[in-house]
Amino acid sequence: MSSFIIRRLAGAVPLLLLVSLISYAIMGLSPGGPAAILGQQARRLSPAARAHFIALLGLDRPWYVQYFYWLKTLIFQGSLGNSYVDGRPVVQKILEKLPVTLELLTLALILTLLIAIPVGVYAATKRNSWFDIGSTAIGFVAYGIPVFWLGIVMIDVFAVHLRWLPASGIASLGRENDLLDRLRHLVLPVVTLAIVSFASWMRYQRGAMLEVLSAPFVRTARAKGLTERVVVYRHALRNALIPTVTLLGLTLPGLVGGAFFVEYIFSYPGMGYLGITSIFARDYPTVMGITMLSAVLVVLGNLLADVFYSLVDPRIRYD
Amino acid sequence: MSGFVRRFWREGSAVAGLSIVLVLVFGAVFGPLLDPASPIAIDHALLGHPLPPSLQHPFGTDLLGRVEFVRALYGARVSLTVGITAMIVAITIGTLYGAISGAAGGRIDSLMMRSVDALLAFPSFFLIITVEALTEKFALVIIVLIIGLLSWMGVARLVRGEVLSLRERDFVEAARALGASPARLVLRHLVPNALGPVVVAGTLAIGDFILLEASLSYLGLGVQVPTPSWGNMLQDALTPDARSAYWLIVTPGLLIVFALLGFSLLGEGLRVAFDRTQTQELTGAFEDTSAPAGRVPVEV
Repeated sequence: MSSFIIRRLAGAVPLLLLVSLISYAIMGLSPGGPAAILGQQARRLSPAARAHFIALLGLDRPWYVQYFYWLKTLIFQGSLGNSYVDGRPVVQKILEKLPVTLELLTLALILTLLIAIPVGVYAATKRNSWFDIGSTAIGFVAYGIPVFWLGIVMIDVFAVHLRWLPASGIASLGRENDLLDRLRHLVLPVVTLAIVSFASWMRYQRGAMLEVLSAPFVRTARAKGLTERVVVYRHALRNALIPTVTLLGLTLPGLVGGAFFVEYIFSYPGMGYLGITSIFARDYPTVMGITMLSAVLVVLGNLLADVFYSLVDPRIRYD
Repeated sequence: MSGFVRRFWREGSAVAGLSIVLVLVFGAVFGPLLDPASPIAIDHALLGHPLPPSLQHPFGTDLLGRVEFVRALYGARVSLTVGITAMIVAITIGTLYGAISGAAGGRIDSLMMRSVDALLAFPSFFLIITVEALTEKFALVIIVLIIGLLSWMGVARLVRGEVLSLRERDFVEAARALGASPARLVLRHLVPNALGPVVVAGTLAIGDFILLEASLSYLGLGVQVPTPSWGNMLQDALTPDARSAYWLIVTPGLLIVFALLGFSLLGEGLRVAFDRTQTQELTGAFEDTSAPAGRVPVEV
């Protein structure tokens, strides 16, 4: 197993290099280029001062030269460079935002699974019943809801009209350490995320459960004369949860891009918010940092899913 | 074929999906012909005073006095065009790439698939908005190309998988023995037999791309005003002045939900109809990593 993990991680290195090269090329080759930002932000600078800044940031060199410089800094100094916007290290900016997003996404995921798994399982056991058809229909509709639209409607209804909950931010001014206040700020973003992601998980869980219910060992359990309750909840359910749990690994990259819109709409200062604002500000080092982190998480998430799969299912071996 | 049609019609949801899609397509194609009002003509008398829905204007009017119903119809044209053409781009590239990779096998195959892995490691929505924000080119063609060019990887994997299982079959062996060229093998024998799952993926992709376009437009990175698309209609509706006009928020949102519902149901119905064994129930959004880019938030 450990040799499998090492091999996978080694295999990820060229992949990550490729990702970084492509990202850099996209940014370097895009019209306007990085020098254009300086044009916008520093219009009042004298041409000499501008040229000085551009040279200082290395933006006067071709993109591939900049790329090697970026790679060198990353490998030898473990640094992703400094943000163009505020000059702070990108690593630091990201580490600040990560826990904020983690909090939001974890809560949203817990809420989603708490609803989606029971509904999916129950729908599968009562296949083609009204409950099954109804939950599937709701799922299809929920799947099509644009998350930004839902966020706006939630704000309008619960924050503007009913005034039950705050519309944006992570805490009220001056109450940053008030847990209850923080939770109140989390309600709308978490519920919004849960509504749009509920459908996929529910359908997935239903599918997994249906597959297990048609497996021979379930028939055997029934044939032994076990009650339906024991068959479904003791024998089938455990196995039907495996694919779902495995899938959790694949949600890891969501930490980075996961909640773009929700963070944007609720002005929730996490990774997604940082990402969007960095793109609009053309803060290339930060955008690069986020992209790389995301790619790393994709690799780790896939690996985690595979490892976990082999742990819960002894038939699967990686050698 | 008749079995396919029978299975499709037996699925109530599939027929519902097809009906929704047909209604949308009909509205998009013929709707603007029926109502002569221009989607971009500003009514100065109504400037700043959006009218709520009425018999005369079923969807009301917007901040500039433009008729929302007409804008919704034109918006349907734009949204459907983007969804369908981007789907064609993505499906064409993905199918050819996957088929070539699978048919070639060996080192070429593994190299091609590693590249796909690399592309899938990107946060796709992030990549799309990065490209859009940097190029600042918002012509419809560019938006379609960007969406299509960055969304074909899932299909490539799907088709490669199909081709890998097909290429060992006797009829392919026979074709090879008869001296068919590699190009002929891929285009005449492998691709046509792998089309079922591709059609399903394509149908689902149209809906997802419509949502993606709406998301881009909402950020101001999609179809630009005054051309109406469902996404930028929503963006319009969210300006502070328009916030009291609930119908401006509700209409485009519900249209997007309606369209996605249609394409999801149709896609699912096609899946059932193609799938003779009926065992595949695992569905849609989580199928491999082809999880649609626009649905990034769903990955929670």
